[in-house]
Amino acid sequence: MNETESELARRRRFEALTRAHRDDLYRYAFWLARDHAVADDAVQECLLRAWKAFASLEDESRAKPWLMTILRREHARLYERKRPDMVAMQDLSQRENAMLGSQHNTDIDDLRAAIFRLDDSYREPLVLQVLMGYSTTQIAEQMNLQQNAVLTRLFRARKQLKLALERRGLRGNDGGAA
Amino acid sequence: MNCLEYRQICGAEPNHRDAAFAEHEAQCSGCRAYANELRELDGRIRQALMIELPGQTEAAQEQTMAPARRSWQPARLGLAASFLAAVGLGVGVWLSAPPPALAEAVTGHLSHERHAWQTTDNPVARDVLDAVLKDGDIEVRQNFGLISYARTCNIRGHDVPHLMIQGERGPVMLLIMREEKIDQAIPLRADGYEGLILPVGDGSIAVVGREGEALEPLTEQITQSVDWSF
Ligand SMILES: [Zn+2]
Ligand SMILES: [Zn+2]
Repeated sequence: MNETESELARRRRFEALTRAHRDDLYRYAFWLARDHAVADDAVQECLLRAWKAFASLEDESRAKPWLMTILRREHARLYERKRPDMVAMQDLSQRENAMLGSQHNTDIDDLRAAIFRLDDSYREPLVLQVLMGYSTTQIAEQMNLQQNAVLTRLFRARKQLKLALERRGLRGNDGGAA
Repeated sequence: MNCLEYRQICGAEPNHRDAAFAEHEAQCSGCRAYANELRELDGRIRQALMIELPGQTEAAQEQTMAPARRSWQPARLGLAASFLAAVGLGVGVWLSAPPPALAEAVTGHLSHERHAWQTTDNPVARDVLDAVLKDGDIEVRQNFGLISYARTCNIRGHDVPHLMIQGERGPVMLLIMREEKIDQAIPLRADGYEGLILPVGDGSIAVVGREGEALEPLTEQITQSVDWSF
């Protein structure tokens, strides 16, 4: 009876912990995969792995980076497995359209499309920095990179996005309004 | 720190903090403008990265839907709720339980790819559909209607073609489970959805739509259109 209770308590703790990071995990997965189905799978696999390894999480305040690391690994695993048909099956523009969804803010949509087309190696550190609030040191850790490499990629990512927006004739936040 | 050094740091980390960086920014109006432009860009990047979560997309679509479709709302909320269950509450339960019964596995799958539940006139790309059907070793005859989504999913350890077709009340999910033999049809009901699992040959096909969807004509059409070799 006691055992059941502590197991239940443990599960509740896990659920509360993961629920708090669910949106971040999903968005990180989506920007890694650029595909909702793969993001779904990656998050589910991540949570299963995390549950199995829950005992190894010593400091629960570190839950987010812990989950993000697991997610990154699971995404890599899934993507490897799915790569051949994904490349053959779904071209980028198709997935891009699926992504744009119901929001229609031309300015932001253009930027989102430009991020979508960024190279994986530029997009990921940008997501970690701007969306997840990671420091460049944390990004280096998460991506197994030297910090200098992270800085270079972030610099180039922004440069490419600026360029993409300028090509579309958008400047600052007055695009289309004036 | 000179302007070039400043801009290299700033381009990588517009909110960088250290004394030399702050000092250059205070003294150099050109670099200050550059930094402000990048910080403003970062604000928009952040907005662009905040994609709607699939549950939110559905809620947003719901608001723009014609009043006649308002009756779907509970179903869509139900879907969002079961998403929570799938990624949160469900995990622990699932891990310690035996594999779910077939009906449970099918209704559980309703929340798996929420983006598949879109009302649309766009057919899935032919090569995507072909790949999924080929994986499942099945054939679908031409008179099948609009297939808006296709993916190979895992149901109780088997690779199962998951198709979405467009019914009268919205999308309808088909799971073509050639390895799940059943003796008689199993009715399904969950969270504003209803459907059934039909015995077909040595396997079965699950058909699940929104509550109130006219499934009979669909199921007839489906069982006649799907072929698999035994
Ligand atoms: Zn300067
Ligand atoms: Zn599926």
